[in-house]
Amino acid sequence: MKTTLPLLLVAALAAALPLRADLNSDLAFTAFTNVDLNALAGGQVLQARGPIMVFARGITSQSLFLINAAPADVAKKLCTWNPASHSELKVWLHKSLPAQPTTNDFAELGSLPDNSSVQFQYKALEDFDPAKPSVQVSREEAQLIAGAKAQGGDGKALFAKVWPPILLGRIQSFLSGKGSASEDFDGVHPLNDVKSLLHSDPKVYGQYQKLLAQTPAKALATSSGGHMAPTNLYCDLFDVEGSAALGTGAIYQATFGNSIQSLDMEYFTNYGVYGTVELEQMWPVTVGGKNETLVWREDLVSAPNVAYLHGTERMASSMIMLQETKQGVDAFRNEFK
Amino acid sequence: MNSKLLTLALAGLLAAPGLRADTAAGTDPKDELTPAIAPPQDNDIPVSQEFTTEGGWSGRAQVKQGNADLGTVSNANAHFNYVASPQIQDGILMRFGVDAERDSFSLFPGAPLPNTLQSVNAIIGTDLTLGDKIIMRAEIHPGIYSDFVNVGWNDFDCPLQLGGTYLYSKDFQIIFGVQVDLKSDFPVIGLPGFRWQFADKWVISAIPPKPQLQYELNNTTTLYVGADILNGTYHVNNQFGDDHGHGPSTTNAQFNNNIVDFTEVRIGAGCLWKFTPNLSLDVSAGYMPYRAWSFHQDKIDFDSHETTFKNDLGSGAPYAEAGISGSF
Repeated sequence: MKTTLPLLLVAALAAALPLRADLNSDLAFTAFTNVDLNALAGGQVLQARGPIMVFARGITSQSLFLINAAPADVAKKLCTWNPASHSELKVWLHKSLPAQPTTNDFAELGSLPDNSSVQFQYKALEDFDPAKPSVQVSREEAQLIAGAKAQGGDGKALFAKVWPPILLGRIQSFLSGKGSASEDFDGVHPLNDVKSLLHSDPKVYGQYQKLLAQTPAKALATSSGGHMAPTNLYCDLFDVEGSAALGTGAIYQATFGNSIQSLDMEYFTNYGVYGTVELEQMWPVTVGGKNETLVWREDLVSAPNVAYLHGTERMASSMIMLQETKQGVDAFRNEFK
Repeated sequence: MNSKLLTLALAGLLAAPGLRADTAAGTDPKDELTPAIAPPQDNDIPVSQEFTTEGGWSGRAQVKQGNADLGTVSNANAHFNYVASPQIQDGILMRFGVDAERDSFSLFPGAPLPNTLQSVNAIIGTDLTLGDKIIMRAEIHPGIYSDFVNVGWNDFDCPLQLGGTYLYSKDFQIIFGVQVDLKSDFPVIGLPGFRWQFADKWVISAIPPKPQLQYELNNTTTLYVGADILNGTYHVNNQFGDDHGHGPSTTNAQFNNNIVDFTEVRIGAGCLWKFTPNLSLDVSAGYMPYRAWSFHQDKIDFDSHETTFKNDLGSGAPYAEAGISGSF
């Protein structure tokens, strides 16, 4: 499997890293200062709401926690764990893809759980109107769906038929660094939203600039970005407000000083969310004589609804976001027990 | 980690816009995939704005004083509210605005009741977060609460409202509130409530003054059954009793310079339609089972005099109301 090589490189590099004691310096770009590692060792998750972004559709939060494992193992787990195995996260499918996926790699889209959330996707196809699509697709993709619908079949069969080529097209477009305005949905290009999220905090952006410069996100902006193979490609189906959303994303990882950085960009989602970014930085630390990993995480989400939240509603949304992020962190940490 | 934030919980809960109505947000040049966002400036203060404008009518219902039938009264009410909320720092919003409300009664001849009760007041307050689960609101509403005849300083009032929301989860929140109005029949009143999304499309919003059972028909439309409680405390002028006797050539001098607490309860069904992501139309109709005017001296004076005019429960009248609200 082609994704194995970058993982091995990361593991080898991380194994040689010295332990680092200057925590405040390491965390200078984050919302956290004067962190008590002993408190974190008890299982505490520190969290901070992000400020209201100038980017109207964006919302963010940061978390800091310890995991009883080496940074390389944590980084690897970020790529290999299956959140669909944690029912509380309402992820209906999470599928890792090979570096050069084909439509055959999306076979699981034909055998999804039968629930009302997933049924939303089937019904959206059964009622599909290319002039007013109920899922977030480009004009070309809408025509593809309309053509498949005209050939008949129920929503479930249509879902398994139309989405593999659409997801594959999105992946290939992303990896080629040639995203185009023809992929817009209502004037929104999801990768543009991903980049707007990344630019929302200059300190965090600066911290990840080196890694970003090697990804298609940077290449699209400057047409001269480097090319780094993603550590992992995936597609997933998860719940948004009772309706399933289908998406695809890429994870990039690299060493950064004594730590490992991870960048997870979900650059296409077909409902409810335009784009998400999950950043992690992982440092080796020693707490109570045990070698652990200090994980800083930032979640950034661009969603149409967020733009219409104001004042107190927006504060409340960011507080709910913290609760949901913690749920995700707890599930991930359980993978190490 | 790909654990996916399941939702932007309150995004749906409080905004629930249509899927396609978002082209105005953000600036994404179609032909150029460059980042559209500049780093935030230190002097940027996000300011949100909200407004509500609504009106309604409730039909003629028999007004009684004790067991005596006095005549029938209907009510045409209107309400406008606007608040601007600058976020002065993370987790702290200031609230500045205006509120105006008017109840205009169609009275029977010789009614010992005001034909208008009206308020025009400022809103000054703050919303602040306490920890990661509680949002508090404190507001004062200084202004004129009156029958708007010979308006003077006695018509000034300044109710205080304190409220809080405990965000237990995205599906369940507990609300508590206290209102302090020293002129009211109930100078301090506390009201608890909760909001519980107990199924995908069903919500119990047991939050006064508009408790509702809601069903989300689709992303833009919510149907509900519930209640709406109109309530206010007003000062009547110092000749009100002299001018409003029980019929011609009679007076009620004890009502001069009084406070009147007005309450009207409406129970019905309605529809909330979010016709743009920022604007909602709320239309409802049903039955008004209870309407009352309670006259008393200023509670600060601890006077025991109190006279109530009301209809019998069950002998009310139909009502209809409509309103538009928005936030920007």
